[in-house]
Amino acid sequence: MSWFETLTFPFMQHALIAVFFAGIAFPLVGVFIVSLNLVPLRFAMMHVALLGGAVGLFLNVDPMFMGLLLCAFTAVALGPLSERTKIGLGTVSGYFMTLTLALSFIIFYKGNIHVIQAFSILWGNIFALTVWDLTIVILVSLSILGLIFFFFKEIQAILYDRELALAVGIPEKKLYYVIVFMLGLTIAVSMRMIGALLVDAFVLLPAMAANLVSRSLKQSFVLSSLFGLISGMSGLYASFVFDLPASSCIILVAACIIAICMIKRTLLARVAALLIVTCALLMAGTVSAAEPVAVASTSLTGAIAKAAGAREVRILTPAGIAHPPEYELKPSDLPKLEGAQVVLYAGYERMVSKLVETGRNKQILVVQLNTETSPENLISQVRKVAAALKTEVQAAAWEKEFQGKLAALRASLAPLSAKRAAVHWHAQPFARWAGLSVVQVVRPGELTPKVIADAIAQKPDVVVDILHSPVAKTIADNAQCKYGQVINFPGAGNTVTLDDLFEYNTKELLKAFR
Amino acid sequence: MHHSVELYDVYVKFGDLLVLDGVTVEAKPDEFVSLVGANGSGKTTLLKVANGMIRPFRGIVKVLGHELSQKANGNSLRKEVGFVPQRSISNRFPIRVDEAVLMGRYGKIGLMRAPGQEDRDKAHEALEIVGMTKLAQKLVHELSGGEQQKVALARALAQEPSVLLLDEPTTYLDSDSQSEIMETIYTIHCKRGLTTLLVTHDPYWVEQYSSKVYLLKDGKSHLIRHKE
Repeated sequence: MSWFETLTFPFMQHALIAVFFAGIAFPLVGVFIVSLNLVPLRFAMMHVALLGGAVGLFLNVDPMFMGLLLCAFTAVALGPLSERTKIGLGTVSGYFMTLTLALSFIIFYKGNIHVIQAFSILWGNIFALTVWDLTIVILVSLSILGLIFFFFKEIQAILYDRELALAVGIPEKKLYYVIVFMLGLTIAVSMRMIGALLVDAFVLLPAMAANLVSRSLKQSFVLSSLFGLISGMSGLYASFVFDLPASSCIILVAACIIAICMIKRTLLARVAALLIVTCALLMAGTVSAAEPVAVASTSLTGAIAKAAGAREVRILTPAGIAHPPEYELKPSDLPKLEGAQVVLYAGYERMVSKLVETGRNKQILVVQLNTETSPENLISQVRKVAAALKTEVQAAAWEKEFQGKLAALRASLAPLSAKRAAVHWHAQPFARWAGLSVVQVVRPGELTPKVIADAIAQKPDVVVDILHSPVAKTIADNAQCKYGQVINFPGAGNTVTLDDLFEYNTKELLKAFR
Repeated sequence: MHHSVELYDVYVKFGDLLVLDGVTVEAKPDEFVSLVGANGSGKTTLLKVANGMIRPFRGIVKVLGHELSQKANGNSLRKEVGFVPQRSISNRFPIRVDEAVLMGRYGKIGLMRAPGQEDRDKAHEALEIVGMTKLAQKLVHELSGGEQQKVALARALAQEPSVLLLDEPTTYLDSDSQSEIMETIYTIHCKRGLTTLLVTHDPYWVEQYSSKVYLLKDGKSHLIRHKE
């Protein structure tokens, strides 16, 4: 599939439109940040967004929406609060940062929320933008452009020296609050696009580069927009061609621009031309399309598809990812969907449902699976997929063989029967199938002293942790008992199928007792 | 004749520190008033109170007969008050000298309006007065402290104020430039009939130009000289 072919996908069009508007407008906010030294505000917003995500997950509301809402409220409150308390925006931002982080962790704990799931709000995904997201990006971008167009001279005075702006009779405070509000909003929207961890580089780097070569504020604004647009567009393209995450590519291009501006200012025009030529040359690159088959979000849904008798399974999450649901889809994954008949997902992945929603191939059948790893559930899910693929015969054959393997494995675990076990939340299905007596369940996230003490008090013989997000080693160390890690997603130890999964976990459990 | 700048029994606190402790200062149109006193005696604070940048927690501040404490008056009165701060600009903000001087017109131009030719002419005239036309295209942060001070003065003059507040405007200047600038200020003061409040440590300028001198000490004001 060529670059131009991918542009026919609505989600690629959304990404391009978003990068176009945000590339032009968001670096303008970077000029505010550089001139007013507001970098700490970005850190505060990142943590506020995390709290919003936690609240959203707790209340079962879209975590991204809650993140945006909280960021908007914080942006409104920050300016006046720092002025009234006279402790400076940096200090107030630090206060918000730590307070929201502490509140987030309390909500994670009390709401039994998977930390990774909440932190996903910080990662963003430019290919997961809905029409609503796109509308917000465009509205915020136009607001920034409008603010600068209509209040250029006032903004110029405020960025130059706030006190002097006030002295010449400009309503400095009100405009400063508007600037802080726009900044907060921009950071929140950028987080949706490329994630909080990279947002300041996306917003800041073009402005920093422009600042190095500008001789007026107008030049600063124009060049930062130009650099933002170049880094956004070419970053997006490089992501497709080189099979890399888009956000990192955007940052890399922006970082190259700033490096060149630092080396020699007169090279500027040549660099812009060079980037455009490079992009044009790279546009010749294409990736080949694959044959149409079933697409699975992770190795686990893939294993279910294989067990159900799918002829070929294309797994979106690459092997070797510690926690597969976190995987961020890349443009190079798109060909895997081309011509696919069925998409299997569990619902906790970040991309699949949105990808399918925005995919042009309306013929794709989307099947949501329950991925609890108890044999009964897995068999039932295999039957569900087989019904969708019309491969019931193959599925029945697999089921018979699988039952036989499980019986043999279960027999090998007989010596461990009724052993007392403290078990990771996600390792429960296997532990119970293995015949362990689950005396304590350890939830994902940070361990509290009470959980550790309770687990030790249960005097477990073994702690069964999960390889994808282990948390319980401390309990085993303190309880002086055995410790083992099991998996829910095939991959470790060359595991591929559901049979492999149970065989691996059985071996790991036996190994823990040796 | 009514006063242009009136501060009556003004109190200002920074945290627990009482900086102005019942200060009273009056200045009529045409009056050149000097404020003297040791470092930290509250001279700069007093100037900032006079143009509403700092709000006192007690007392009355009037500029051109209008109370500054009334919210609606703040920005409209500040347009009539030219302020030259002591410090120079240390950041690398990209702004040319002519743009920085034109900024003095921004308050009077009003929101959402671009500066016109008349504003540019007035900014150019102000640059001529301080002898900086040759450096008009230079970036402000490339200038010396003294040159930056001249830019600040030009900006205040471009504003065409009725009241001029000067916070040690000759600090960074050599002695020749000091005389030159002070003479310029005094000429404009007389020509435009301004009310000028000058914070200075230099007894020569106090003696030379001031019709009224206030000494600030321990947060209180003392009128130590008054020539009618």
